[in-house]
Amino acid sequence: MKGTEMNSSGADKPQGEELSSPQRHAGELDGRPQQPDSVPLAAEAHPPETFHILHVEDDPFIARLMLEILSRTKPLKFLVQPAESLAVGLERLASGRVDVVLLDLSLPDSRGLDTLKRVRGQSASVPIVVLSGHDDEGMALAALKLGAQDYLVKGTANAQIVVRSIRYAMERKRADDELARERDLLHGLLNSMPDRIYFKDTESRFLRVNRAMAEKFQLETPESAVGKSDFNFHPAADAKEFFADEQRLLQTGESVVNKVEEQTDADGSVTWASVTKVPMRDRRGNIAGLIGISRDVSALKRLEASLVEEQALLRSIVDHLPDFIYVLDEEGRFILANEAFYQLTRALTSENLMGQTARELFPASVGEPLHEDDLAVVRSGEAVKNREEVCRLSAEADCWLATTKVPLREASGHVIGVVVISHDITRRRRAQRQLQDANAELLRANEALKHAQSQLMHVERLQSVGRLAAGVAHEVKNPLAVLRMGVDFFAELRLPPESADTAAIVIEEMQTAIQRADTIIMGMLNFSAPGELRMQPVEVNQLVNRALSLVRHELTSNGYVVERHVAAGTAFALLDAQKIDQVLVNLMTNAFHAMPGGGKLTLRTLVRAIAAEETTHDAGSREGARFCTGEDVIEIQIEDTGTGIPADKLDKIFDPLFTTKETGKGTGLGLTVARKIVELHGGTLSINNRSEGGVRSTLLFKAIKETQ
Amino acid sequence: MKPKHILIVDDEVGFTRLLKVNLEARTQHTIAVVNRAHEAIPAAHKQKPDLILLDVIMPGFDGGELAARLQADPSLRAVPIVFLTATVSQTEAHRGVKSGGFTFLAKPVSMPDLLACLAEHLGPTVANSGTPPPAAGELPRPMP
Repeated sequence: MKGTEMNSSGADKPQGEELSSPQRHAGELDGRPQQPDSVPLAAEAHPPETFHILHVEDDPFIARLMLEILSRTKPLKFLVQPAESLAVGLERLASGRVDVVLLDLSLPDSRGLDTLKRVRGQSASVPIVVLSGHDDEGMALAALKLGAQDYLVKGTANAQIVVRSIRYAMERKRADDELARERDLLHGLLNSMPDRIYFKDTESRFLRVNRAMAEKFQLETPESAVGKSDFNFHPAADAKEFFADEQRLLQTGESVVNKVEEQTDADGSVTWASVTKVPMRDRRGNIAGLIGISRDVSALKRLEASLVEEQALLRSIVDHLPDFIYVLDEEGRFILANEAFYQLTRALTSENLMGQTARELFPASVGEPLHEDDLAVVRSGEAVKNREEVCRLSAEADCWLATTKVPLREASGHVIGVVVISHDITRRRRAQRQLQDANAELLRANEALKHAQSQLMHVERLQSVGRLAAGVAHEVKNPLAVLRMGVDFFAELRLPPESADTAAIVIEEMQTAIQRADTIIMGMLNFSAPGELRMQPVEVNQLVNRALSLVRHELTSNGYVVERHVAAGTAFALLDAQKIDQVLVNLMTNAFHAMPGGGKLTLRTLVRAIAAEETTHDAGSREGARFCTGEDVIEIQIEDTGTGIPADKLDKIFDPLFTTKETGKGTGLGLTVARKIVELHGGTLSINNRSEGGVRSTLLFKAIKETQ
Repeated sequence: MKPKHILIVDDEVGFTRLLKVNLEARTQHTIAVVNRAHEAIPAAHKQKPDLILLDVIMPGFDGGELAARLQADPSLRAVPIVFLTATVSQTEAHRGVKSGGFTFLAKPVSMPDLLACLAEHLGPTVANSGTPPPAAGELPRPMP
């Protein structure tokens, strides 16, 4: 082509002559049309652009001639920089803008194609038009191969041809640049994409693959894949499948989009790829092959698999936990429940549980509050932690749970449900209660022990006092016996009538005095040594009746009225009947003595439970008994209608040797002994004035079952 | 009624002397007294009493033990024993009659109670009508 142009330009002899003849005046070119070319140039549509031409020429005439020609070219504006040697030209090329190099090959410092090579070496991209003095076809071709845009021969190329050649060179250069840029972009895209991209012909043979694909196939270069197929790189089974997919695509033209394929690599490792294959068509629209993009999604797949595994693991954990677990959506519908929960609710299965609310599943008394409670967590967004509650869903009567309800939130924080975990704490509760019971029992035992100890100490003290008292009694009673014998002797003596009466009085007073001394001694003996108690189950109503019979003579002699209110049925207490007889007789005797003019004696027995305010917890006290709240006691009341006890004497009535009775009628030891006896029985004796007059003595004893 | 023999065993010398005087004044029974427990059995063998009045507490012996010995003696087994005790009340003494098979009398015992008790065991007391009751000033001198 270049040759043709050169030949055609060669027809314009006068111009060529002008160029080849430095003697010609440059102005002769003026008459020539300046723009004979109709080659469109981008610059024409715009204000004239200045193109920088580097003219490397050692012939000053030609250099000036070209300067003349090119600077007058319109509308293109050329700025010509002459360089008389290659060195200068290369320097210019390196230092400033050069759009085209107009290059003479024969220079003082370089000759022939070497000159071209050196300019190319300096700039790989600048268009070069060779303006040579040698009309050498071989050299022209060699120059073109070395990257020259054109090869013009001095003397054959006139101004028109030179200008056109320069313009073509620039234009071609620009087109090449664009193409190169396009190609670079495509290359860059193909080779920088981590996705594997390939082109195949209709036989599914690779036409081209990108770097990622080559790497995948462990090839040195992408080029080495060309002509090969999947059968070279994949196990036969995989390759067959891919081949079938591709042949179908090639026949039908239907793309394969994002198909996830499991691929076994040469090394046996399994990877996953998301593959898209589309037909590749020629300019006529026929399917000429296919383009494939394969993205490695192994990581995603592995993630997916691990998610599935994790989910299965969680599910397994949830199902094997003994805790009851369920999850509800924001409407309170079941969306998950574990095995334990199904077992708890027995009748329920996954089919009839999922999507239902507690309100729909369970009886209203259970379902309604449960539903409300769960929804309260959804509404408030506040968790309930380890709340201890009775489990109503269980068939067992006594089932306790520690329940935690946590709002289930999506990523935005919005509550979309509730997770409920309940831990069975029945055994712990039971143990706790047993512990409490045991503790209470221990406390009671401790109290009882303290009481027993205090009683024991008391008894021990009494025993030592008792031994002393018995000794004293023995030593006093023997002299009293002597005195009694003596007095009785005198009583039988026949005395002179004048002194007999007086003697009788004296003797009687002496007998009474002996009697009194004896009574005091006996009281002291009883007080200090109530003796060992012979405890046995005693029916209290019978006991009271018997005691009443012991004072029958008092009753009948003074015309008292007796009223009895006895507890229904039988009431048993562990007592020494004889000692309590003594106490009852004492109290009744006191009652009679309080009613010298007659009156009403009321006896009452009842069985009742001890109220909380009656229990005493003063462990050190030896007064009163240890009764526990709620314990059954037998109460015996003895009431008289007498004058009552003066308030200032009330707190002294149990003091030893305190008596309000006239001398000789009371020892002042009766109540003291009575209370001692009652306390040794673990009972209480209290004496109060009645509001309606008279005195009420109240005895309390622990009630027992008869068989005890 | 034939007079009976009564043996009093009690370490309380004053009491035994007055008891003996009172009994001799009011009954025709023959009264023997020992003030030491270990003398009781030989005295009983000698006197062959119809009844023994026995103090419960004496130095060296207690009455219960002595009673057991007396009862262990074949010749004395049948002799009723009436205990005199300074350590129980009359009420308790009465109970003892029922429970132990022995008769108890609490000191200080009155003569009427004692005579009633003796009558129970030995039959009605024969009043010592033959012998007039001692006149004032005729009280026997206590023995040293």
